[in-house]
Amino acid sequence: MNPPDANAPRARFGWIRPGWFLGGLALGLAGMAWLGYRSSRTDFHPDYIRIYQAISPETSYYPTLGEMESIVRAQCRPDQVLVIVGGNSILQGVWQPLGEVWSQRLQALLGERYCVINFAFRGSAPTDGGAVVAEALRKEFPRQIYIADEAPLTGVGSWGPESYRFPFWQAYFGGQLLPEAARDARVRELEADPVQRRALREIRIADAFGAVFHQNDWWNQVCYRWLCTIPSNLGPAIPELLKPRKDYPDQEPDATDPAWLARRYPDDVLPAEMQIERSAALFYHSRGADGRWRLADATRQDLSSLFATAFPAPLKARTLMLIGYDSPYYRGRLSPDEASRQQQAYEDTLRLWHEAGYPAIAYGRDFNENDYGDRIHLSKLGGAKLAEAVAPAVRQVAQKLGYIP
Amino acid sequence: MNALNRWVDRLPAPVRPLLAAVLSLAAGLAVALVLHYVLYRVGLPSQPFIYVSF
Repeated sequence: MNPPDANAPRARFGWIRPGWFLGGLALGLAGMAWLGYRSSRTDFHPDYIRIYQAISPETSYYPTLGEMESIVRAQCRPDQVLVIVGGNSILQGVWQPLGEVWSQRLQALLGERYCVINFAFRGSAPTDGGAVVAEALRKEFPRQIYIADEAPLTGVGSWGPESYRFPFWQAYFGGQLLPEAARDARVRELEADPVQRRALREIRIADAFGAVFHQNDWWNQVCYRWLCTIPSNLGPAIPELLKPRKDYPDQEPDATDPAWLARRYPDDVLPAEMQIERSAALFYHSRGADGRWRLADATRQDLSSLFATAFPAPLKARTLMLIGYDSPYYRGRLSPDEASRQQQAYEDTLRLWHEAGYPAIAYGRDFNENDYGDRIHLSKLGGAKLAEAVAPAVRQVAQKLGYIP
Repeated sequence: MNALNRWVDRLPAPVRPLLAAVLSLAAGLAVALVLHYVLYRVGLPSQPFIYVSF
């Protein structure tokens, strides 16, 4: 046997054995995909109450559809009526500390036959986040009610702001949503626009990889439980950046805390807030011959059209829309004329939601200044009143749909 | 890399192919981990979302 020649040219890949390397690569990707899939079916938020800063896009944490579905599966039983809260910061419970979030109060009022899960995001639209989770779980939890909120005379599209579309695209491209012509038409509109088409293609590719490798599911779990590598305003640099998100608690302030009370209605923003307060009906109503406020026909038609296609037809009857009044601190500063116009705006909005096939209620008209933490968000006191207003409406929907005898 | 090659060359002949296979497998696994992480990071929006209450 000849001794190895020290001067012989080394193999092309040095000590690397391509077959073993590619085998390791394939095994590694398969293993990561399996871990990701496991993560998508694992509830790693055992004490989940609501989305808060450390697990929201505000800190570059994007909860996946699977992650949110797992929370529901862990907390709710299929024999319960699933009540998913979506919508924006008002329903998320801004100004309401943990333990006194309005959705917790709603759960207490509804009792054990219902299971309330809060998936509202700050600045989110009624058709985002929680709406997608509820629709994706419609077969597992057929007895479900979805609650969302919106301001008066505000249109609602098939999806909301870009920042919160991530679960929608996951569900849409993953085939987890009901067929809906209006949604498909909007997707085609995006595809017709060269800039949007490119963005949509990137999302589609990312979601296709996600469907196989579940990369967001796995790395979200890593970020939440063990080690986070995503810079955010929680910890822009090491070592705070690396802290797992579970170590950042939900620290929503209490609006009734004396430290915050003084800042609840600051004088310097009063003109701007009053401008917003007046704008609810300013542009859309005019006095009719009978002296009553009339909603412009074009606005009525626009809103009717948007509400008609906001949710798929089979889901409308289980979608409870809430239209909230602002704090009386601002409403009380409206002139009688402005106040009557605003009241007409609320009545018109409710009527349009009802005509489109949705149960809808208004809340807050009889709330006082202490029930709010600012112009629109409710304090824990207002949150408790909201829960008391919503619970009978939820029961009514449940009975009407035959969920509860 | 050269140092690693020299170290491998000094090992007894029967161990060399086995070690190379194990290291190659480990390298493949490590690259898979990195690729998986890169897939996650490139999917995140480059601009953070800033919430403003109106």
